[in-house]
Amino acid sequence: MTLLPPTDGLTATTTPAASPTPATRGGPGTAARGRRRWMPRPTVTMAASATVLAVLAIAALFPGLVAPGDPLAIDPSASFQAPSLAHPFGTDESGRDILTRVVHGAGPSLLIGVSATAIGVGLALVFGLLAGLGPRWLDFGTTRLLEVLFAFPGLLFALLFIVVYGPGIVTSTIAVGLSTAPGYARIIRSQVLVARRSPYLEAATVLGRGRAWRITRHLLPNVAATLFVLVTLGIGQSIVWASSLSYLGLGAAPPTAEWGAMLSAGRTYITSFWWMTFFPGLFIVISAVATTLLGRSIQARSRRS
Amino acid sequence: MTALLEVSGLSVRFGAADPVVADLSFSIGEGECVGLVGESGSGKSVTARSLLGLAGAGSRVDATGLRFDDVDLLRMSARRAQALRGRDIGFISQGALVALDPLRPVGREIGDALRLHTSMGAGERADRVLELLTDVGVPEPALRAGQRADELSGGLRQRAIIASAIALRPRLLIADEPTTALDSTVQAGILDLLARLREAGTAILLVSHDLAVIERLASRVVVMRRGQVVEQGDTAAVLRAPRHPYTRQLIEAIPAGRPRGSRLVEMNRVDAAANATAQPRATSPSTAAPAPGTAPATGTAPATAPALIRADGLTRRFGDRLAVDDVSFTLRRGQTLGVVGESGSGKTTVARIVLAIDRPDAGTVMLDGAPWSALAESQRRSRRPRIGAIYQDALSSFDPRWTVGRIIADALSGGRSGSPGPEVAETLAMVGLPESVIARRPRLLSGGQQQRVAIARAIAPRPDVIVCDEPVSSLDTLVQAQVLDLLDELQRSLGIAYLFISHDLGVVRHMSDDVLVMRHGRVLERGPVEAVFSQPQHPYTRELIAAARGAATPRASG
Repeated sequence: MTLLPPTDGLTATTTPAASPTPATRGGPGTAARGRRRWMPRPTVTMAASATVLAVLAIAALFPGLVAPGDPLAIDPSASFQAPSLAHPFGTDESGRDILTRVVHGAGPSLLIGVSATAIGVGLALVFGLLAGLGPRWLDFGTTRLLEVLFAFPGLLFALLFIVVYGPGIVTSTIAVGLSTAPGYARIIRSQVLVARRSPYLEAATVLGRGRAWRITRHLLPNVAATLFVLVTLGIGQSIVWASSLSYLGLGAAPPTAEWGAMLSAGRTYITSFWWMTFFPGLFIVISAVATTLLGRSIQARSRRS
Repeated sequence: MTALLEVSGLSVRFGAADPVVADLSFSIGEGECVGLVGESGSGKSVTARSLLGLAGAGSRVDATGLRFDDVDLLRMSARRAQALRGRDIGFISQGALVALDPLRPVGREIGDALRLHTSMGAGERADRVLELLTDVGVPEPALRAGQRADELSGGLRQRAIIASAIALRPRLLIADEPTTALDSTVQAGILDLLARLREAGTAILLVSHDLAVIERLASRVVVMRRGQVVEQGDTAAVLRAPRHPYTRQLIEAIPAGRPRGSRLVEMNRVDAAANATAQPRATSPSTAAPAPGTAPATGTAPATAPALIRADGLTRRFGDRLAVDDVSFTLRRGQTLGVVGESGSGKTTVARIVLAIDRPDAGTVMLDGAPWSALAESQRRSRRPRIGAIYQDALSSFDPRWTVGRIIADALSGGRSGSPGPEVAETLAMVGLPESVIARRPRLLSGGQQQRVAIARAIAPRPDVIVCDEPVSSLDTLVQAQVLDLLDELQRSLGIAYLFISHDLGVVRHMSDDVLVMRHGRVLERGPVEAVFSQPQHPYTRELIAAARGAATPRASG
């Protein structure tokens, strides 16, 4: 067998990325280059939002560690206290410590956001894959159904669902999930269609790969890559929506330590005791901004590369 | 004769990086055409654009002299530059597909130049636009002027761009790869048009990677490599007796007129002679081809070799259009069957039917004596590894998430999972790629390397035949030559048969044993490649060959 030296691209190109110097060939250098590409250095935004989310996750999973008190313990003698050393976020009308309640509320609030997104994306995956991969009539039917759902403003659809099934944490979570699903489904369908017509799927066919193999090895991973960004962006939105529903009294009900419900409870006192609404609201904003920023920066990175 | 454009000591750099163009000097007189030739990345397009003040964001253009007629191009105001562009200097860009506004009729687009730079009335402008379209050889100009870019073919679009560039009768025309990506008959028409403009006194700066194009039009040529001029002078003299080894390599890389089996690139010549920087070598040079330049082994396999693929009466219809009409052929083991024709001739549809990713409406394809196109996909799957494919756009045929190593390991595995062994590196070595590309994504590789990865993937399952659909059409002459050499070598060592599809007659002639000439879905002429090319029977074949004749470049005698 005769072999050719790789002179073409290496002499033709001027981009440094495409012309490895002999020093980087083989050996440990190659491995390091490969690894760096898998795990690129995070940007400041990415690192900051990931840190914030990590702190929130710890609060959600182990609230006792961060705030050892009982979020429901009543102390009428200490009601309506302004933020102080003893109560950094102040207390509410029953003398409950707001910091403790905010920390213990992270779990339910984030759980609602995450599971609503999961429901939305899960449903969307089913519809999007059916439409993108199924026969033409199925695509037609699914797409029309999604268009009908789209005709409702998202939050209105959620309200409608709650009217039918009654308020509560579970129904509000499902409601938010349902109302976000059509948007995700449309994006997933278009991604599936792009991947399905792509030359690399054709190349896999030519290599003799079956349909199942093409879908699991090529199509789904490529669709999932875009999905990941969508999900991080979506969680922030779902947290806000779920909190809005709780604020309207349609989700978690007081005295549950949930951010939206705390907002709702504090709204009567908003002119005199600002801290009752400010701190739960601040945390809704922080968590929504952090997930959105993380999603955005991941998105920007995948566009760049 | 005083020069119309004088360039001396031109250098262009982006940021703090090394200059992409360094110390370039040349001049163009009235009615003269100067060619700027070099591979991609050699700085020729940047040079052309910097003359127009369009070198791009972050660029710094320096020159000891940059003069157009009496105007100092370096020190003129932006306003003056704008007036100069269009009126005195016309520009033809290479992207005919994107340079026209998709939402406006081309007549309006061409009329813009007249509207902005003259005081013509609307009626006068319309007349002038029709006149221009007639001049550039657009049939039915009144109809075409009212159409938008997407309703025109590539050749017509390029003509429309030329019409807008010459609308104001500029004294200098800068043409950046004006015919790249066009079919050879269309290309011939555009080159004739440029030649007529030159006769009429227009100075032309012609930028191209294609020496054949330069030769037809330019009286002088500037050869660029890595931003530097390696040689310049009278075109005929440079092509006949190139002094610089790089020029010689460029000339030899042109496949037209080179016998089947001869190498297009003699290895190491440029790198050895012209102090080329250290390039990674996948293998030791001693394993290189059997004595380059020696008498080639023509006819890689006897004409009596057993038939591997037999296509019989293939017909494929898309709506009302008959894309493939009663096409039959035989591809023998270890041989190459070339398919040549313009875009829309049905070549690619034939390729897709042979690959069984499209079904013929009528007719059959037999693989090695057994049914192929008639099978159900599930029955066909086990035999799929016997037919490989490489495409024009190699990059899009790779899963964007996969590394080169995974792509090759997957092709080697035949769909079974298992840890990739040393075969991946071995397969890459067969196509001349170093082990270091294993961990990389294809999009970070150069065009030539991407096509090598595609070839490695195609040969990994040890196929009997590879369908090559325009495999080198988007590559530079030099890179194209290296890829063609590689394909030729793999055919000899592995005995692979090729169904080789190209619009480039020179490439097909160099690569093929037999050839089919296709037009409008039909085979017009077929036979052994030398017979068809030396004594074409069908008038269309003659027309094709005549159009490509300029490409038959004289060989370097040294």
